Amino acid sequence: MNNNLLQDALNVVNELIHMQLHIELDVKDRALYELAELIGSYRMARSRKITILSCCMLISVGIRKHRKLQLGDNERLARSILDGDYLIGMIYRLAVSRKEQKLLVKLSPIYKRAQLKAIDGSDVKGVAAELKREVKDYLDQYSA
Amino acid sequence: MNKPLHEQLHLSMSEINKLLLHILQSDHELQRPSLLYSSVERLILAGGKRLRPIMALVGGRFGTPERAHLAWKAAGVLEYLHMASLVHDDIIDDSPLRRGKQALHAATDINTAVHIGNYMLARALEWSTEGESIEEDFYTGTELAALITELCEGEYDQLQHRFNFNLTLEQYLEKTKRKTALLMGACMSAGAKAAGADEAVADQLYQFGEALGIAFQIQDDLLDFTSSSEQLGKPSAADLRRGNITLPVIYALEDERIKPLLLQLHSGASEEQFDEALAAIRHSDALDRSRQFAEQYTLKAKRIIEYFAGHPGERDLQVLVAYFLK
Repeated sequence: MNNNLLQDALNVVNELIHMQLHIELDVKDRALYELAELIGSYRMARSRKITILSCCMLISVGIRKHRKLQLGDNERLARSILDGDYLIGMIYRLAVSRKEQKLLVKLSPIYKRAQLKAIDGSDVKGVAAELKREVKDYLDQYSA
Repeated sequence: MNKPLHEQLHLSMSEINKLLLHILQSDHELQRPSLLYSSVERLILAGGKRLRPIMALVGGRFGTPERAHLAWKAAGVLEYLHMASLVHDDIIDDSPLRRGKQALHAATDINTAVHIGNYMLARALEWSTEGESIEEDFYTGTELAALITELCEGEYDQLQHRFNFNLTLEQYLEKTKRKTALLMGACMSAGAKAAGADEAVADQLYQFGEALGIAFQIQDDLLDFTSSSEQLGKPSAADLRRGNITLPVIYALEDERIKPLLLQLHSGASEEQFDEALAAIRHSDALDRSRQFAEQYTLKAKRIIEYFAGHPGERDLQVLVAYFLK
């Protein structure tokens, strides 16, 4: 069932991304499956679950895009920078259009801390755990 | 000599800079001293025209005085969003200089600079939802952040059309709207909305800012042909060398004598080929025609001011138009 939720979220994200941009989305991530499990376990409208999971997917993929920059080739470097920026911007567009803005109060600091870790050269694996914790907190507060 | 724009609008540049520094300094998770802190501080202290926060604050004057402080919030977010995008743009454009100084990625490295740009965006958005009035502040940060996708689409367009000498005027305008004018329109309307102006007023101010934004971008395109590297604080004629097709190039392509000089250009073309094409454009009517085209947009902005006749903020809009007409 949560695989379906993940697939539905992926469909939403793919529909949002401008077709001509051809942004590759690598969502084979254990943490996203765990988030799908978590979000799926709450009693709330399925459309909200999909929106929240889509935002989590976008932040995960967006952070990863900027962790794997193609430094040797200006064209590919430019693409990877823009792709990451675009995916992060899409979180805000999606959350605003679907009235899930309060989620952004949780996500902006997570995204910020991921940058602090990246600049320090620390592992960003902790970001997934933080995302799960904050999303759970959000669901506890606003799932009704 | 005319007073600086902020003085003509009775705005304090030091207050704007203080706000920008406050966004950084109030981040309790940020270590000091650190490379990140000093880099962002350096970007802020390097100055700039601060057009975007100025426009947001002018927009805020069309709301209510009780909510004017929220226009300041919009101003802070918008300038951070702009500064962050410049950091990424300099990498994408492989531009080593910004305002005559080393660009951030040249002073650090590309990976670090990308993450510093990201930090600035994230911090501004985090800051915009801090405090007690979260509900009221939602527009400020989140809706503005939603614009990032369109700004990126403008950059994608530019990337996709490098050395595309078939670019049409319509395509150029679309790219210019997304890349520059949209944010300037959003500055005016975001300031107004944050300060409680109604939708119709915010919409007119958006149109006003967008028109000025197009005029501004065309003037910026012209500077690439008319200014020296010293005047620009970055390499001159960089747009054409990178294959960015700007309005003067589109007009020059209509001249059968210049067209072949342009069509032979590509990323591996020689310095002599670029210099020859640049000289031809500089001596053609393409620059004057571009100036006239830009003026159409400042005139459009002027016409929008009529909507605000008698409003105390009308004069401020006139000041902005006069500034962009220069």
